[in-house]
Amino acid sequence: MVRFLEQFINGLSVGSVYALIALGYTMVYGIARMINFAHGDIIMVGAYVLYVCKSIIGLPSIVSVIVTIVFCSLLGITIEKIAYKPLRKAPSLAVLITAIGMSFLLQALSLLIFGANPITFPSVIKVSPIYIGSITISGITIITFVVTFICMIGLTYFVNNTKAGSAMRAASEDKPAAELMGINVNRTISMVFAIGSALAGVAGFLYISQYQSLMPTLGALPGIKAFVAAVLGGIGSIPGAMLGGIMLGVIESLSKAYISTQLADAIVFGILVIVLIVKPSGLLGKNSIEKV
Amino acid sequence: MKKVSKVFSFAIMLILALALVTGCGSDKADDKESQGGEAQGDFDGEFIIGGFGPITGDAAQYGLAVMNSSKIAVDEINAAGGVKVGDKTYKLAHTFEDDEAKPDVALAAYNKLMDDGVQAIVGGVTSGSHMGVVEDAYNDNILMVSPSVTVDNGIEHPNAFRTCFTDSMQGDIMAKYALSIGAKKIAVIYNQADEYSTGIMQVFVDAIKDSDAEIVANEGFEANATDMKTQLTTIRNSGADLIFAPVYYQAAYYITQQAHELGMDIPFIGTDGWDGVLEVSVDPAVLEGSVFQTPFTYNDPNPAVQEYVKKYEEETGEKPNQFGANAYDAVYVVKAALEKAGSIESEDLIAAMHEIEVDGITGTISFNENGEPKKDVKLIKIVDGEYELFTLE
Repeated sequence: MVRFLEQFINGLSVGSVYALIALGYTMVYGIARMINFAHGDIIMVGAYVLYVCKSIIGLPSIVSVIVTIVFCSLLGITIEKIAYKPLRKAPSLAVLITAIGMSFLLQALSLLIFGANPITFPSVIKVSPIYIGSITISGITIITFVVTFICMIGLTYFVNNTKAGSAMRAASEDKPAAELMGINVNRTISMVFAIGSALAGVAGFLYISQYQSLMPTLGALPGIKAFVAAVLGGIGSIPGAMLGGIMLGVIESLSKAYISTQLADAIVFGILVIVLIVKPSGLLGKNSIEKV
Repeated sequence: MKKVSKVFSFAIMLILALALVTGCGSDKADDKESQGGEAQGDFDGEFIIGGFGPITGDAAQYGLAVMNSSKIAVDEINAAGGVKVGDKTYKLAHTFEDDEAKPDVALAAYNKLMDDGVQAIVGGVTSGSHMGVVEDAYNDNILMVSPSVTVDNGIEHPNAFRTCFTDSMQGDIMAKYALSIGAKKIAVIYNQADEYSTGIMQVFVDAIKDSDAEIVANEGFEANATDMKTQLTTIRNSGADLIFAPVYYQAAYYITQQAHELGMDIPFIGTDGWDGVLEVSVDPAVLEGSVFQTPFTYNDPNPAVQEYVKKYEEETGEKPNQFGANAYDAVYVVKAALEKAGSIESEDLIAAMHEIEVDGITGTISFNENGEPKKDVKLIKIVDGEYELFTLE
């Protein structure tokens, strides 16, 4: 039982990072109806910005974190304005390819600026672990989980209960109609990207606090995993992203521990396939009927 | 309006095309320096050594080390009067192409090198890329000395040699070491998406199975994984007294760091991919007592090694690793082959390779009939946050 709990917590620790990233994916998809494949790389940019602020400029930790989040947010808006907005009326495939291109661009830029060698960066969060019997839960795991949970609650409230949130939902359902109702669709979508990218900034900060090493490609794998988590939970659904992320982390960890480390990915993706066959919109996704 | 935009787009295309042309041109000039005339100063001709390897992307550290070290060796040889081939003296030239550690890019890089008139190759750097070009290199019958390709079938053609140990040799060496320190229950953690890692793991596991020790856990992880806590928890619960991690330094860092976070104090042993692990670790204390196999460390007091370390630091501002050292030796191997053969023809060079003995910075190197290097096995132990060299009995 203790072993099971240990592995469960290992899964929770990875899963909450996936969940936090998945929130950004789902947010952008839910409103703008596009998959922002550059999301994982904004995490990477966030991690590097934090490193520059803290280690090179020498700002206090809290200021560095705020600068990171603001920078990512502005980067998200800029990317949307430059790369996605001109394609608003283009087929979704074009936008998807542009997003992938953006992802490569960000990676290549950080490779040029910071080089390929991994940079070590000691965690800015110093929280002592919690001990329950023989089980250890590291401080960063708890913080990641709590932050993800707060973000999920905050986002759900924001989207469902505020004016800006209603505008977002309206824009996601029918852009021309929303515009006729006096909603500034462009500004709404910018705001979605700002929030999504700010979440990526937070994820970058927590990710780097956990693994303490920077590489231009660090956003790629968590980005893909988080995308899968978002789809598993039902892309577009905010609680779904959280559920999907945690589930993905836990399933991954338990199948590594009890079945086979070699087969873990096959099992995870197998489950994804089964979920999508049974419920194509994901676990918490809405079944929307396409009107023809 | 339409006309203006047409003119505009034509202008942009022109600029881009120009940028492309000049971009390529300047690139080459950097690497080859003044390659112009055939006979310069006291030299009767020029012999071009080419190289290819990743200088961008994840594995860039390896390619850059090989590129810079080959260049240092070439400059050194030229400064010392070049290479005596028969009654002629040749100047060495060096050119290097990026392969991004991808086989298809490597093939393009190789073709570019051949177009540039390269006469011998010090490469490839990563096993995957290398395997992408071996057939072509064999068909072209060009001498290839790889500083770092460890995959077993990497040099099965007669034109290919290497200055590093193979995967299977490393697996055997580390199994021997594990048994020599009395390990009974051994756990293995490896990168299941990497030929280097899985190859060594297999040989190691087979070697341990033939002894009185046992493998109590054999855990894989996926490519680019950063979280090893699940695997490490399993290893901790298996009661292992030693962990073997045939991985590259970045993964070695994640593994040792997270083992420390989980409160584990089981010692680690690793392979030559570990070289550089101290430089990427936040807290060197987590590596204390770890042992890995490597042909080179910059702490080696040997004056020839220190001379090379000094030059490498001047060139790059960084400390060299074993990839660089093996590449440096590989250039001297080519030089020795040229002198022995008394000819610059590939066929003569390849024949001469089996007769030479080179006193390099990674040890005294000679080659057996398969092109494998024969040299001493050196191990490194991490003590007080420093690499410490010792030789396996």
